[in-house]
Parts: sequence; C-alpha cells; structure tokens
Amino acid sequence: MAEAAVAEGGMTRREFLYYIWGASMALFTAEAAGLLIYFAIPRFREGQFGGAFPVPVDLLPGVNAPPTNFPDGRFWLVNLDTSSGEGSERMSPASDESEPIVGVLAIYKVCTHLGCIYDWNGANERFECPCHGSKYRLDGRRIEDPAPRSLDRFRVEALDANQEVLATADTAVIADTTTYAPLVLPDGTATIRVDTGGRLDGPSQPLLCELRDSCP
Amino acid sequence: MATFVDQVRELGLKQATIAKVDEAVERLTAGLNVNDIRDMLRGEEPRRPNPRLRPHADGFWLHIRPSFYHTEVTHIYPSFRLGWLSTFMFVWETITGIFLMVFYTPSPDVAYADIWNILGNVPLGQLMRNLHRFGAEVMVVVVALHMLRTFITGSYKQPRQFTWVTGMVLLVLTLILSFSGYLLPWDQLAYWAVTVAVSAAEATPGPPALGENINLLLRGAPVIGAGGLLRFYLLHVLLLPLLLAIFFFVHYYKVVIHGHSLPPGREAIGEDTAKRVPRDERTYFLPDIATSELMWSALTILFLVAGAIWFYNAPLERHANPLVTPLHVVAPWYLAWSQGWLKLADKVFIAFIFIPGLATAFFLMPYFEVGKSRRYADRRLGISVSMLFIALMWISNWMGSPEYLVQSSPDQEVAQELLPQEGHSALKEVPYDFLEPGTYTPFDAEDAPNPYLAAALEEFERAMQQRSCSLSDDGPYEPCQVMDQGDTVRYGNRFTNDAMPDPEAQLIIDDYQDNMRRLTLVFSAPDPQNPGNELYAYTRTGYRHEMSNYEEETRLLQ
Repeated sequence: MAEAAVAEGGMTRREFLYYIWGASMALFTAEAAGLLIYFAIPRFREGQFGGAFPVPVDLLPGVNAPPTNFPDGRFWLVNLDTSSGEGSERMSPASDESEPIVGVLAIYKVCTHLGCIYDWNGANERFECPCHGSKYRLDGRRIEDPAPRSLDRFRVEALDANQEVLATADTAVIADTTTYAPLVLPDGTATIRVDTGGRLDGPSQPLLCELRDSCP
Repeated sequence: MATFVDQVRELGLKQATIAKVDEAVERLTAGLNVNDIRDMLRGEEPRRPNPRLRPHADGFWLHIRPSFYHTEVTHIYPSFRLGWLSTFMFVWETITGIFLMVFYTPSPDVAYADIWNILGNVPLGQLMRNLHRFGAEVMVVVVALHMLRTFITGSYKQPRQFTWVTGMVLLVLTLILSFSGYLLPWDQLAYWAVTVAVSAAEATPGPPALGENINLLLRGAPVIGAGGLLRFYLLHVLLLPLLLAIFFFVHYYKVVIHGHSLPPGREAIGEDTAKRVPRDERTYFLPDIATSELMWSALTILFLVAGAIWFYNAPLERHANPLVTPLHVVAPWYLAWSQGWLKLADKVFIAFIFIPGLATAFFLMPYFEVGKSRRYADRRLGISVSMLFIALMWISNWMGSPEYLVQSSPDQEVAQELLPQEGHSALKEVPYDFLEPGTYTPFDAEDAPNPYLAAALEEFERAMQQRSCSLSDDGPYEPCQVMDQGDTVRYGNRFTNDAMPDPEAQLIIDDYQDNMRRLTLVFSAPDPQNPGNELYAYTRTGYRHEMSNYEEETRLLQ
C-alpha cells in the first residue's frame, strides 16, 4: 500500500487534501454564519426613532422646579440655575462642580442602566428607576448605583416667534464625555425645539452619594 | 405465503381473522403478539426467547430505552424520577403550547387581546394557559432539582461528566425557553422583564457596535416592538424547543450508555456497576417500567391540572406600555437573583463576567470534583458548599424584590400597596357596589359602611403604620426617630428609616361619571423643620367602572 511507504508522522497527499478541503468548508461555514447574522439584523430607516419636538416656552418648568414630562418625545425638560438658590433641595452644586449649572436641558427618559423608564419622585426630589434602583439628580447626574453614567441628553434649540433659530445647545466635555451643555435661552425665545435624533451619552461622573457620603 | 382467502378456506373466517389481527399486533408492537401482551398483563414470565426485548431491538419508540433497569434505581430514591419528569414536562409544554398557538398571533396589535380572548372566550382557554404557564414553572423547578439530586448523589462523577455538561445545556435552555415565553402576552410584566434582559446584551464587552448589534438582533428594532415580539415568538416556539430536543437526545443517549447510577452506598467506592446488572436484580422495561411511567404520567397530570384549576393562576398585567415602567417591576422568580445582583454592581461585571463565570464553574464541576467516592460522608465539603450556594440564591432572590434598594418614597409605597400600578390589592378587590362614596382616613375601618371596605381600610392603616411616625407621644403612629444628617433631617420608625412624620392620609371615593367611581389617595405631611413647606404631597388616582367586571377578573387572575 502507498500509505505504508510514508514515514511515520508524515502526511500523504490524500490526507493533506482532506485538511485543505475541511479548512475551506469551515471557512465557508463561518462566512455563511456571518451572512445569516447580517441577514437577521433588523432594517429600519435612519432617524426613524427621533424627531424634532417643538415646545412653547411657557411649558418650560420654573427654575430648579420639578421637571416636565414629554412622553411622546421620551424626554424630560428641566430648567436649571444653581446660582439662583431656588429649589436647592432639588438642584445644588456638588463639591466637584465649581461652575454654576445654568440653562435648559432635555433629558432622555430611559435609564442608562438597563433601559427602564425612570420617574420623578416628588417626595425624594430626584429621578428614581423602579428596576434596579438607580437615582439621578434633576439635571440627570447620577446619585446612586448601578447606573453606569448620568442620563443621556438631546440637542435643544431656542427659536423666536418666527421660528428662526436663536441659539443651539453647545457641547461640553464632562468627565471625558462629550454631551450637551444646558442652553441659556436668549431673550425673545418663543419655542424650544428638542431634536431627539441627536442624543449624546451622559458623562460618567462620580456618584453624588459618594461625594455626600450617603450611599446606601 | 398463503393469501387471506386460502387461510379462510383452511381455518374458517373467525380463526383466520384472529390470526390476521395477531399478526397485525405483532407488527405494530415490533414483536409482541396478543398472547405475549396478555402474558404481561397477567404478570407471567415471558416465553423463550423473550419477546419483550424485541420492541427494543426492532421498534423505533423503544430502541433508545434500556430493556431492563437495575432494580435499585427503580425505587423513588435515588432518582426521584426527576429526569423523567423533566422530559415529561417538555412534552407537556409542547402540547399545551401548540393549543395556545391556535389562538395567538405574535403581533403587538393583537397579542394582548388574544390572551384575553383565550381567558374569557375560548372554552377551557384559561385552563390551557394556566397549564402551560404552571407547567413552565414546574419544569424549571424539576430541572433544577434534577441537577441538585445528580450533584448530591455524585452521579456526575466519572464516567458521567459529559452527561452533566449536556444537562447544564438543558438547564440553561429551560430557563431561556421559559423566559422567552414571558414576552408573548405583551403585558407590562412581559415587556419590562424582557427589555431589561435584552438591554443587558448591550453591555457586551468589546467595541460598542458589538453590543448594539446583539441588542438589535434580539429586539428586532431599536426598541422592542413588532419585530422583537416576532423574534421572541420564533425563539420560543421553534428554535429553542428544537435545540432542547437535540440536546435531550444527546443527554439521554449518554444516560443509557453509562446506565443509571446506583445509590452511592450500593456499590464499592470507585466502582461503577450500573452496566453489570445481575439477572436477579433486573427489572424489565416491559411491563414494569412502562407501567410505572404510565402511573407517573397520570399522577403528574393530576397534579398539574389540580394546580392549574385550584392553586395557580397565570398573571396578566395591563397592556405593554413602552412609556411607563411600573413601580415594583420584578423578574420572574427563577431569575430574581439576577435582578438582585444587577442592583449591586456594574452590569458588565454581573452579566458578562460573574454569571458566565458561575455557569462555567457549574459546567466544569464534574471535571474538578475527581474524588472517587460518591458517598455523602466522603463529600462533606462539596455538599456543604452546595447548601451554602442554595442559601446564597435564596438571599439573592430576596435582593431581586422591590424591598431591596428600590424602595420609593413612603407616600408612593403606601399608594402602591393600595392602588398598585399593576396587580391586585385589598382596595382593588372591593366590589364596585361596595365602594361607598365618601372620604376615609386610615383609622375608619371600624366605622366602614361594609366589610369589604373595612378590609381595605385595615390594609390602609397597616400600610400607613409601617411608613409613618408621630412626632408627639400621643400620636396615632409609632414615635418618630429623628435622624439629623446635616443638611437634611430624616424620620424613621421601628420598620423603616424613611417614614412620613405626622402625615395626613385620605382615601376619597366619589362618583366620577355615571357608572364610574374614582378612588383618590391623598398624602400630605408638613416639614417639621420648616412649617409651611410640604415634605410629602402626593396623590394617586384610580378608576373603577361598574361594568369593568374587575372583581371577576381579580378572581380570574389572582
């Protein structure tokens, strides 16, 4: 027999071809699996889940007042001014925040932990998530675990009565994360436009409860 | 070969027909004729060669079953029939599931209405749904107990390590199968449990696009909707049962190849005699094991049907609402431990390091526990550790409950006990006619106009007592424990360190419309440090329609 002539440990041509053939089949299977996964990824139009939501300026909550809920756009609107001293039980600067926080923010309604819809708790003066107990301050900064980051923010624009854009929220870098800065509304603002297509992640600042030494 | 006509000529019509029937029975049973079957039923010894072995050799249905068992393993101990029961439950779930599929369409537009149709309109529909849901939970319990038993009797030791590995696959598939069915009713319970589970996939370590795409694959869209429901439906009714069936056959083949392990004390340490069964210790499948399995089937069906009729009702909450996560949302009990752990630490660590690490440890356990002895006295450490693990899981399950780390403010917690967003309560169960309009305090139970309302008000008082305190000694509640925390002052009582000081609480029932009554809970408590400021001010409203038939629903779904 031909195989008998091959030295021990050597490879016959037949064996070698089998390996090549097997490897090409394995490669093909991997490619087919990749294509199947690609096939199964859902198709949806870009921007299908975002939109521009105009909000008349008189629907804006008062300075540091409890937030206003906009379920259709999946956001909360808050009006912040830590320099005013109003509503300090809800919104006061933490020890690592030297600059005052002033302006309007649109905060995404979905908890950054595992996608539940958190709610404003009036008695505890903070956002609370019913699923795993994450807590957030009025401006969306996280107070308690297990949220991995503060709440996500949408782009806010200020429009005058003629629907001309007066100002657009700047981005700011907080804790190495680019997010929207609160927008100070210019005089003459009639409408606030929230673009839920433009969402930026919240920053992963230290937990407020750690700074206050009040973690459960 | 003589034709039937020839046989009739030779034997007469009657005898020829009997012979033909006998032949047909022998073919159908792959080897047993009518007399052989009657011999079995009479309890007689088989003729030689033993025809009762032929269905195992020649027939399809019995070829995977052993033709005899060691008599030692046919008793309740050591197997408790748990492996067999797991298989039975899988078949049971398949059958009841197919019946439910007849009346169910996996679309967010109609799925929820389909469930109500099954509950209220389809004859025996509610029973069928209860049987399926109860069966799913029983299956989880049975499979978990089967693993526990296998561990405790050391049956996963050499040569059965791989059987254990396939068993672990079956356990994981059972959990996923049960959980994937959770979404199908498209109620709040379903929607949020599945949203959380799928969101965990987004935390997959690696580039963010990986987690995002895994999430998209499962959800069928950026948020769970029609695509997600269809995907979970197909997983639940097709892919997962198919995988489970495949792994079942691998598992069972290994069980048969190695034989059922004997009780640990019945063989010498290090010996495996399961495949060397002396003739006098054999119990043959036909008729004894088959009869016993029929009896167990009957008993199990009795248990499941009685449970689904009298003791268990599959819950159904309100229609899924992607905009509201209900307070006190919980994972199914068999996954509550994961909800508890997710509250504690980073989700990447819990979902992708801790839980998979634990699962891997379970998979590989038989390859690490290599001591030869299966006897309990020689495995004290392992069995103790397993008991500690079970205790840990009990505690973790409690950590998954709303009591741990997700308590809301006391006013909302009391409102939740009386008028919960989902589920039932003493107040919700008061029949419409007994919701006497008026204003009630938590202490009005004795003066209540009827016993239904009295029961609800007693619950109101109990809930208020737990979450309120009195600043003066003669107040109606527990005395306050005042905790000064620098910038804020908190109040506690014997039960909680988050209590309302001197609260006013009222239940107001009024006629909102014809045939509709409004239930309003009003809480207020002034800030003792800053009178004029409200520390607590909360109102929760619920409505009841005369025709809503809620009491009936309550009985249906409680």
